[in-house]
Amino acid sequence: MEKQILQSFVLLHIVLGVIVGFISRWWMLRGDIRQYPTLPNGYLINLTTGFIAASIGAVAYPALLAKNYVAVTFLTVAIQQFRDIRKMEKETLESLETENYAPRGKSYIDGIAKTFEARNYIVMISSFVTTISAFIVRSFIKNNFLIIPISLLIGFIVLFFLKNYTKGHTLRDILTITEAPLEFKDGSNLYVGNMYVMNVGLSATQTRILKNGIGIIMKPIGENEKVMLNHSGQRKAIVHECSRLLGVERYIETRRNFDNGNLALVIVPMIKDITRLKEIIYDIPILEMTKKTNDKKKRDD
Amino acid sequence: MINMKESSTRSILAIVTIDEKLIIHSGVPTFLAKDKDTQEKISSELGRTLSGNIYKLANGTIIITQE
Repeated sequence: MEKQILQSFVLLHIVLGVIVGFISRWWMLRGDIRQYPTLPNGYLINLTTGFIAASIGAVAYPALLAKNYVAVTFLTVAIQQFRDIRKMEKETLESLETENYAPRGKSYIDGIAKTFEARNYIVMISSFVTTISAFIVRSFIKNNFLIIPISLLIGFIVLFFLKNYTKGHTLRDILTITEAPLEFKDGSNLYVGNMYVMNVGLSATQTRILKNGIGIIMKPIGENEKVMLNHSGQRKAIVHECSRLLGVERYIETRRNFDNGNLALVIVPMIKDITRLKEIIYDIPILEMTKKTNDKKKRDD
Repeated sequence: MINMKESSTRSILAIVTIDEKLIIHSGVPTFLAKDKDTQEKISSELGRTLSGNIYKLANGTIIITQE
């Protein structure tokens, strides 16, 4: 009967794992601002699922030690749950697409949903490693004052590594942005620099665009980067983020130059701030879909 | 104006012109304006009513298309 009671040191090791996992979810929560329409609810959902993921990760090793192999199968159940959460997140974002002035696009939504799922795995792995390292340290040193800091440190190192590994790149890594003047040629054709963007029929609208609009040209730094920037999903992500963070008074449109791969963007925003617009674009993540295209191109070369 | 729709083709909802010679009888409603100002005013009103996009062609004809 005594063997059935959880020993205090096992409980301590599980708690250590849960703490690291929960803190890691909290730490990664900052990146979720762009993904949720309602922050308080988003925080609660993430922290709750993070706590569950941390608990599952933390109890996995003690369950194995106790030869409770059935308990380990809960990991597969958890993975299924996280996949369902990803699917749910995807469906939610897709259902909100029609509400957006500029939709996110399927590639961006897929990326967000994947990130959402991956963070739960990061939580699970870091709490699992914390607990396992606590057990390993205990086999050498019996002192809790050493076990706790060492296992916490290992857990946070793993967390830091995984967070950086899954971080990905932003557009800052693949392009440069230059401001370009807006001009109407042939009466109603709008140009950003020397790039045609769109036709605007009414002169009143043309005046508004010239007064309040911003034109920029994004120049990819290399051949592979041209392919990335040409991806329709990536362009939708740019348009979406710009319109979401600056607001759109009237138009937002992109157009690619076929000769050099440059991308022109014109926007008539609610907040006319060119510096902020540049920062927004630089911080947009490179979608995984476009990376795949890029990798394939490398292989073909 | 955002080119984000699944389909890239958009139908012409109406045409507004000031040149009577350009009017060819077709399925698209065509409005004849007496001068450029009236043409723009009609186009603006039609654009708002039909929730369409307004484009101006090189020959001065304004077309209103689906958004």
